[in-house]
Amino acid sequence: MSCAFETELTAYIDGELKELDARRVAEHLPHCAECLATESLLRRAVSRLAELPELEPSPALRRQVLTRVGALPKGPLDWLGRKLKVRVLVPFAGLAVACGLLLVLRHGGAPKALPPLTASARLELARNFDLVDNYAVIGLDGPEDLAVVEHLQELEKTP
Amino acid sequence: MDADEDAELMLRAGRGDEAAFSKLFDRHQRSVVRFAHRFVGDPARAEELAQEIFVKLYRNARRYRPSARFKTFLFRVAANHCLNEVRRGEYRVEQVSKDAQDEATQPLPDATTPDQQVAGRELEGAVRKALEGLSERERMAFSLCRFEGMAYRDIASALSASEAAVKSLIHRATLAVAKSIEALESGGMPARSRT
Repeated sequence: MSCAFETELTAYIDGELKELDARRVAEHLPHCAECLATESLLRRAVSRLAELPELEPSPALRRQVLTRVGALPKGPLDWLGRKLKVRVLVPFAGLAVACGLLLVLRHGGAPKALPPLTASARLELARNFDLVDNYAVIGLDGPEDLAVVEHLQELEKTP
Repeated sequence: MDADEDAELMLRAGRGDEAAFSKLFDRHQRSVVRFAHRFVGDPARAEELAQEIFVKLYRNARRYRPSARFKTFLFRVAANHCLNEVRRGEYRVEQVSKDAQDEATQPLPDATTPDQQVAGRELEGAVRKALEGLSERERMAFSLCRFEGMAYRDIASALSASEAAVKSLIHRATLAVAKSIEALESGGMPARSRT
């Protein structure tokens, strides 16, 4: 079973214990062979780690990082400025113009406002409102369609 | 290297000063590459990670506030980035063992004689083997303590952990590495950590 002080040993070696705790460990060590052996093992390992070969970054890393950093936009205005280049602006402007023309052409044949109806026209319309409504539902496109509707109405009337 | 000067350089980088950022890069690139290397084991991929970390740092420079030491902030960014990389499952430290043969053919830096090169490689192998058996956080805490010389308090800040937790992480990791080195010295197989 490991000693309760064992978990403090690495922090003790690293000088990370509070003064009181460090003193307790220091007083414990001479009386515990296990902790003394572990402390010695840890110290040796820490000193040997200094012998490890260090990985040296390649010279290319610096160039790559600074190039990427230099290519980053500096702020919102810079971002906008980078986007509004001629080769980007011209196609988008052309597309905007084309869309605008299309909208104008489509809505150029929009139905104009109807002239105000006379009283007799209103009466006639009211009499035939159901018929007009039905015609709108079935989508009349020409005189042939009217003939079909007439026949349908005749059928509706027959018992 | 003055920690306050690093914070000042970072603040200037946040205002678009690329020269200030390049100074920061020059000061810390080796540390970041070394840190990343402990996770992915491959020097080329470690450099790619380091590149991504520094670019991420620059992108977020405007958000930097010098409430913590710059090095703590730097390794918080690096730790999160490396953790994400490892959790994506693309790179694991175990893969390093398979690449050990390839690495053996590459000359080690800082070694002047063939014997030193061999000894250095063996030591690296023993340390790597011990780290393979550790959790990601143990590996991170160990790397920041042993290779970057960071205080436990700063490591706790970088890893968003308590100091007590960091103390425990570093102890388990250091003990595991110590046993592995001892096994190397005695000519036996590396021992597994008890904890």
